[in-house]
Amino acid sequence: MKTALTRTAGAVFGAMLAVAFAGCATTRQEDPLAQARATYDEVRADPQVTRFAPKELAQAGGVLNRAEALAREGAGSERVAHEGYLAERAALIARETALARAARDEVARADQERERILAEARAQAARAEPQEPRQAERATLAEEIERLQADLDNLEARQSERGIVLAMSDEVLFDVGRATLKPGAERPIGQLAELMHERPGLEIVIEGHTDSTGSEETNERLSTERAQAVRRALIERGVEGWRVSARGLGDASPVATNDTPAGRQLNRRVEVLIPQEGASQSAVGAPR
Amino acid sequence: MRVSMLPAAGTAIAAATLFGCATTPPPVEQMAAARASIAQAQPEAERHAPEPLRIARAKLAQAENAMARRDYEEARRLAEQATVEAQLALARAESERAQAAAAEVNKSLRALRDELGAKSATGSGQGSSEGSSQGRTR
Repeated sequence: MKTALTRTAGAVFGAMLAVAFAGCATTRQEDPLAQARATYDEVRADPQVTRFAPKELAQAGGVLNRAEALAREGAGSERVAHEGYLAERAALIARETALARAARDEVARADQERERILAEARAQAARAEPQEPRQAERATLAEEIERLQADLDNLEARQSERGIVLAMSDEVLFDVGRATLKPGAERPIGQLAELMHERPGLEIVIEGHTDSTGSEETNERLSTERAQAVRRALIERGVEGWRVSARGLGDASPVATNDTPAGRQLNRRVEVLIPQEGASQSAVGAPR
Repeated sequence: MRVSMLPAAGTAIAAATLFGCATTPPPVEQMAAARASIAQAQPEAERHAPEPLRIARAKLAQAENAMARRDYEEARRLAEQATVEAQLALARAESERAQAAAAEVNKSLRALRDELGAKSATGSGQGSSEGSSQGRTR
């Protein structure tokens, strides 16, 4: 009886032993790594993954290799299946990582592309728009000066190599020997300001001139102060200061003889220089 | 004598089977890692990758059960699986979000091209040739 019992017990333990070994041994009816391998191969074949997540792909490959090694060593199928699970997830993570990086890359490229398109559109607009109006501007600028001239007494317009020169007689603008604008200056200054408002691209130079009576120093100072007075008056009427420069040339640049009263009157003047295309900026800026 | 040896050997093997093929300590670190990964993935994955997040949570729950049974080997495996599943959830959520952003930005880019294309089509001939060169770079 006792022997029978121990024998039974021995059989039971024998069975347990078999189960235990079976549990730790590889049961090769079904490949527990088949799915992991298939997923890994699929992910590795994706060029986006090799490009954007090579490190993650290599990691997944490492996990799969470890699982394969365990399977070869005869590790338990549960353990191998577990490693296979980890390997498959690692491969899937590599794919998602690649997709995310590719998408971020696309966003960055799209942003760049948008910047490029906008810059191109801006450049195109800058090329296209001012060109046609500029032609129109040139046509009407001449017209406008003609109109201005017709409108104002004592306004002399002439073409010089530096552009159009509008000469305003001092008698209208200033009292003798003074640099304060007279009420009569209102109209020509106002019209000049209006011209400046209509042509936002226009930059002008105001030049003061005197006759040759009086000292050179006084003439230079007076002509400078008068040119600056005109400039200030334009600025007071809303013209941007940077568009108007002023300088006095004294009696250095006469337009008539200083020997007769009529000649001297012509020489006492304020000139507005409107540079034209073709007249270089340096010619405009340079003193005569 | 031979008979009395058998149960002893059997008990040892039975014990080894119960506690895994090797002696396994409780997988405290793996459990913590699983919880941390799920917590990390949760805000994003809740919306963008609910399925792997759900699996990760289920695995963690199973791992906790295994811990309660003192089946540490099983608990460790399940915790590790929960961890990678949560990592996958996070990766997928991030990729979904990035792809949505890419789709959005491409859409606005197309709209911009259409707008400028339409503008240059009504404009000069230079503008329309500009439009076709943009089409090539796409």
